Amino acid sequence: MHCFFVFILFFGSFFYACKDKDLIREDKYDPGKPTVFSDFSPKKGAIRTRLYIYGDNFGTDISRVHVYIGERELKVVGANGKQIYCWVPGQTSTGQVRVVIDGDSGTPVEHTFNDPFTYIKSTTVGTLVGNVDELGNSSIVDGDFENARFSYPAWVTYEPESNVLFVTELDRAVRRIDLNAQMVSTLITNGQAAFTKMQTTTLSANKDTLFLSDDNGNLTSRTKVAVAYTLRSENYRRVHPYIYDPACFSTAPHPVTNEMFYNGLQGIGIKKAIPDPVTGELLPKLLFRVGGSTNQSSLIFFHPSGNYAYIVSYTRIYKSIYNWETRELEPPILFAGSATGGDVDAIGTSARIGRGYQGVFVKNPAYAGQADEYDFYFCDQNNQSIRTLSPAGVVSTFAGKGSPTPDGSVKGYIDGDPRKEARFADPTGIDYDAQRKIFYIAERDNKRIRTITVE
Amino acid sequence: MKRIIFILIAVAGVVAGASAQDTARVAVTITGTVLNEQKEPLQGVTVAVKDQPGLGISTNENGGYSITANKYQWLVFSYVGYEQQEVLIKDALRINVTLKASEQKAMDEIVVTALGRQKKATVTGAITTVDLTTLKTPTSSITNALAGNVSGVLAMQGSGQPGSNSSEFWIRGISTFGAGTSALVLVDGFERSLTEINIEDIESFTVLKDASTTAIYGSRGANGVVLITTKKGKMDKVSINGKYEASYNTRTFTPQFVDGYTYAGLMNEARVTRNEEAFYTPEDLTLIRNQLDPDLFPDISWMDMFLKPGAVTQRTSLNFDGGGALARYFVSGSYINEGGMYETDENLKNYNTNANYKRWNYRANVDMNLTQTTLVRVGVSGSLGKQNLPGGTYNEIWASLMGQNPISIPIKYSTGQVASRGGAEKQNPWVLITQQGYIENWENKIQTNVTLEQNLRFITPGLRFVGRFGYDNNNKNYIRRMKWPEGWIAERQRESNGDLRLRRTITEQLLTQTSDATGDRAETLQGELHYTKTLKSHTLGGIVQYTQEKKVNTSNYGTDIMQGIERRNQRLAGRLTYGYQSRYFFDINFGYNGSENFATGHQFGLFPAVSGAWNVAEEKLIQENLKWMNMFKIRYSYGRVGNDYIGGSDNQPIRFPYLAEFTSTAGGYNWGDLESNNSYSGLTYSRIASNTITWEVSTKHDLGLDFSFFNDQFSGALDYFHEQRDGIYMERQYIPDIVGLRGQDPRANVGATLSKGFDGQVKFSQQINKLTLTARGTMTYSRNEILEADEQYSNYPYTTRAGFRVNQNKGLVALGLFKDYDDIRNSPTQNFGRVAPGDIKYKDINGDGTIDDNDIVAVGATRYPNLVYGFGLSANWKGFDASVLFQGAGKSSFFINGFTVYPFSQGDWGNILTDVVNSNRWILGENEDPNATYPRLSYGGSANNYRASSYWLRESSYMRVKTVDAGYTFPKVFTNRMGIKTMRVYFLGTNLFTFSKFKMWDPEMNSTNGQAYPLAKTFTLGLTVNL
Repeated sequence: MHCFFVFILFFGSFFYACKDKDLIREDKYDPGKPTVFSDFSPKKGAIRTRLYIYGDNFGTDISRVHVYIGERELKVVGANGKQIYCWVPGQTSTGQVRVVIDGDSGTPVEHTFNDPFTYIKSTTVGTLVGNVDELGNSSIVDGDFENARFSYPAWVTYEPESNVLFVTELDRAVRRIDLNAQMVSTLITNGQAAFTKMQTTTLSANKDTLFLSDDNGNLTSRTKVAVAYTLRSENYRRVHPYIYDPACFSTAPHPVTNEMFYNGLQGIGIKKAIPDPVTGELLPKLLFRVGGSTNQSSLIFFHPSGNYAYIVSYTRIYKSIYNWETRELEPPILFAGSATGGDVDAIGTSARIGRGYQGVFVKNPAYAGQADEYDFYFCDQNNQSIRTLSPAGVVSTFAGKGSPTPDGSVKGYIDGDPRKEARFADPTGIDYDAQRKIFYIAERDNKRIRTITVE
Repeated sequence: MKRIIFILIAVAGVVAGASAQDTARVAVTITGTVLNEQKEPLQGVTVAVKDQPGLGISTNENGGYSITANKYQWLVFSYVGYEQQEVLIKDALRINVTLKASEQKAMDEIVVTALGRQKKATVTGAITTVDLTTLKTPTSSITNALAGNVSGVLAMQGSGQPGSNSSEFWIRGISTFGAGTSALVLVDGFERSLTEINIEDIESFTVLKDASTTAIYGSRGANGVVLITTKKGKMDKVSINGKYEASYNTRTFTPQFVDGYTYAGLMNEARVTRNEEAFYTPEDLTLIRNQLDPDLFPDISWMDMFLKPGAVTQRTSLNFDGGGALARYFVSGSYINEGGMYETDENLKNYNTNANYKRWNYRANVDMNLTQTTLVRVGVSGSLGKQNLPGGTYNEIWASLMGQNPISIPIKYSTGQVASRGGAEKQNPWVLITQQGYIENWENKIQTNVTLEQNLRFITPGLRFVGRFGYDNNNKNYIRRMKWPEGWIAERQRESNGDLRLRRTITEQLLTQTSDATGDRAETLQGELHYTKTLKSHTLGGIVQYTQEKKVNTSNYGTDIMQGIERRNQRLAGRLTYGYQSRYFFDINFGYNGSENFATGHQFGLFPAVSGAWNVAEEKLIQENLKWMNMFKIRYSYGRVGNDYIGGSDNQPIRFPYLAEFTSTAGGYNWGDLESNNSYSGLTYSRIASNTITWEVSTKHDLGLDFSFFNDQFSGALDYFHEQRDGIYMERQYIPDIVGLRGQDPRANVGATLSKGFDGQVKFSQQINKLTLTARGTMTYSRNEILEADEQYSNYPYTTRAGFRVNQNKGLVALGLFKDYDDIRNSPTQNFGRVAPGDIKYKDINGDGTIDDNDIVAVGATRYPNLVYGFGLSANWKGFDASVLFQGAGKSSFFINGFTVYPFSQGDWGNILTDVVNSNRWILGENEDPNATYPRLSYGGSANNYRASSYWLRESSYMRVKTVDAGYTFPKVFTNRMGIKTMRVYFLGTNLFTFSKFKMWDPEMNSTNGQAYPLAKTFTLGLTVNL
């Protein structure tokens, strides 16, 4: 029986020899050795630059390592003893690079490099306002930029006089973002002033009137308000009916003459509001149909010169010339894209568009002196990108589809370099602050308002 | 339990009664010495009074003994390796005994056959008797010791998971493509599982291979039969055997995967070589190499992280036996604990998530002589097996361990969230192995049998009746307690301030549970009449056996009445044997079986077999001239064996196919008008009656030779077999629709296969002074061919099943890789998507200029080996013994596939084996070798390259050092002082070295992608003690 006992003892030691592996990395810092700081790189960079500090005996516990450029603390991502990897955030300014490593005894090791880090301002995609809960859900929540939420932001209109953004939550509400006060409020929701499905907003040429279009669900009868307006002078609070008509998706006041053009669903009819000579009431006049018998929504965008308008309808962008004689839009030609969708940057009808949505004309300094100095920036919802259409008809991708996932998905929520890093999720609304050079983008899926800006 | 108590009381009563009888006599003390033939004293010889098992003693070192007994009782002297001697006590009080060394001759060897024990010399059929000392396995299942040890058996171990690591085996290979290819296993005459049986309880292990030996099993014998008898008590003083062994299990092969940096480089290569953008920037690669970003580029070796270097298995068994002339007993118990290799969290104190298998076995066999001519044997045995598994399923864990690439996710993000790519196999292995709860499986088996043997010599000498009744009960239980934390994945880019941007991939699962239980019971009733008669040189024998069996299973049948009916079998079997002078033998066997699966008129099948043997060595001429020839027996058998198992699972077989099933039609017919619906549904067939199907019949020929030469130094057996299986059940799937069967395929006896091969074993032993050397070898080869199958006509005969092996591998024939675009232009069109240089080029078999499914031909062999062999050497010298067994398998091949061998076929899901990097891979501009081992990489899978073809066919033949063992038996002088009869310590190593061309994972493992629990390489230390 003793043999058994001895035997069991022998094997007992065997079991305990195999210990559990530790899942947590241990700190390899050696307090007995000096910490050496040799260099850092790169010497200059913009927001999101990966900055490396080289040397020796840094340890691997990043909670002890602090890196500063001037007074701005950087995010330390990793350290392997010989290198520290950190991340340059926005709003950094050029300054000395300083590294502080906390020691056990409480006397930190500190080093400031002689060379400064030169901070470069760059164009990046950022997030203005909006967030979601851990399930990805959101709803209409008013408040400051920390807390405010959006449920389905689809359209954005920038009003430069009061530095305010109007965001249309498709079929739900129109929100107001006060960029100065950094507050979000709700201007109007469904049900108020008989609105049923709010689609888009536009500003009059002098930017003091906000037109609201409503897909009121009617197909034929003119019993409901299709377009309404609010006035800056009334702080946009009171809603006035503009025209009674079946469903309206977008409005396009002429930038020079202030005549109102808008659209309906059936056959993609483009209409003009014409005052009744007797009563002065505005009556619709159907100018032409874009899609033949197709019933589809479309969006109209006037060139700032008033010479022509783009009509964006899903995978196609039409160009309609404004006839200064008849003061009407002419039947359009297909200018870019085709009936089949896709994602191809090319010229004119060779280009492919997924689903074009809101667009905005932005002056391109490179065209100075030419007949048309504007590029048309528009959202391509299905292709998760912001694209441009040049006056010559060249479609190219401006932002989005950066850093795709390994399975090729380009939809997502990533800020950063517009093409290399940033991703969008169903972007449909875009407007531009020409003075501050900021694009505002509304994304339905991310439920956020993003910006593309040079810091 | 009641039964056991009853038996114990019965045994105790019998013993007590026996001793009470003898006390009236005169007690004397007998002394003496026991010597061997060399006049040396023998120590440790058991001296006992016959019929009084408690009174035994052992001789001392001088061979002396002293025992108290009554006059005219018998003294029994027994010692291992010597013949037992009995001496009657008369007046002399000193009895000196010389024991003769026992000598077993091949001629006298006893083998166990279907109808009882028989001298090996008289056997006319093909059977393999397994030397139990050669069956060595440290695992919980004896099936793992069969390959290479037992001639006629082809075996393969598919997984190393504790409790699921038993081998699949086939007798003489797979000989049908129909349902049921596994052998019938009978333990003590009852159908029982081989997996749970405790090896120390086995007395004999026999494999019945040909028609003459299996014909009496009729319906069940077509795939061969394994016969096991368990140990019974011997008329001797109590003998206690204990065994303890502990094994350390590592792995024979662990698939090796690349590190994060190599992975990222390959991924970029896979994209760039197909004109796609590189995925990782040079800066990303530097980060990966320097391991500076543990969140986005973690570089985890999942296999190393979650597989321990090894696990421990412990096994212990204890048995004792003894008894007297009236009753004898054998009682045993054993325990095994197989440890799992997952690296689990030791901090989980409340429950264990590691794979683990524990089993307790017990057995009690009691034989009682009720009268001079009546023997009753009672056997009770059982096992309780408990398997513990992690909450993630087996497939999920292995797919996850090999699917997660080294840089996709960390275990946890530095923010504290658990990283996960989703649920099931996309889950983090850490969650699957340690955080997802656990699964418990347990299986209880209780087996009870009673045998009555009545000698009917009062009717006529040589007549004997044997009746058996068995009642087996199994139940299986399963419970899975599961939960998991919420999982997150980081976007590839950080937020502008450097924080991680996490996206939730799976919501939290709170504790949930699934459970299942099934049970079955089997009853067997059997009666046999045996008759033997010897008239001068003629030996006559006859056996008639009647059997009825029923089995019922409750596997959640619900309202399925058909499955709830007991499955019954009835058969009458018999044998006639005739022998002349131990030279000529002739047997007739038959089985007459009824099956519930066939319609009246087709139910009964007669399965006869005839066999004969001629022992040439017994001829006068040979005996006089070739004295070295001890046995030379030529055997031949021919017979038919049936099968009535049509298909379906073991728990839910297809039953009563001769009956039609009906169901009501959906919708029905509208008898009303269009506006006023008045529909009535009718009845329609849901199964067409196949009322003429009957027995599937296997016609077997076997030509064999048993020999033993030079004083039994060289012995062996060789068999050639030829089996044709006809009338294999198949669904007739190609009946034209105009027949009007409404898509219900009837069954018919249409398939046929032919299987041919040989098996054999040889043994050679040599004594050099005190060194005994034994060399042995076995080989089994089987090749089958489908003669006929239910299939449609094809213009290309090579696309049919007929003419090829059962489970033949079929695929395209690869001609290497395309050299350049000219090569592509000048080759037949490949219709599997775009090809580029470096993609696989296929052979146009039918010459029609395109490569399509009509170019698929038989390539290689089958996954299951068609050849299994083994050879070994063992040596004994004084107390030392050592042996080695090499085992191999061949004539087998398989296609490798899946994300582990097709790099990036599922994008970034799937880790890359180091073999891809280390072997000759086609690289654009670097290594454009048309004969490279891996084609041009592609990201997201290449439909052209990743097809079953000879390019991906791998030879799975291997040879391995299956077991090595070395033991030392302590000298008797030393052990007897401790009261121990024998004591042996030993080392056993299994699967120590494996030689194979295939090196990615174990070639024996039945896996095409390596995603399986690896087979174990074990190092065992053990001790056996015999008291």
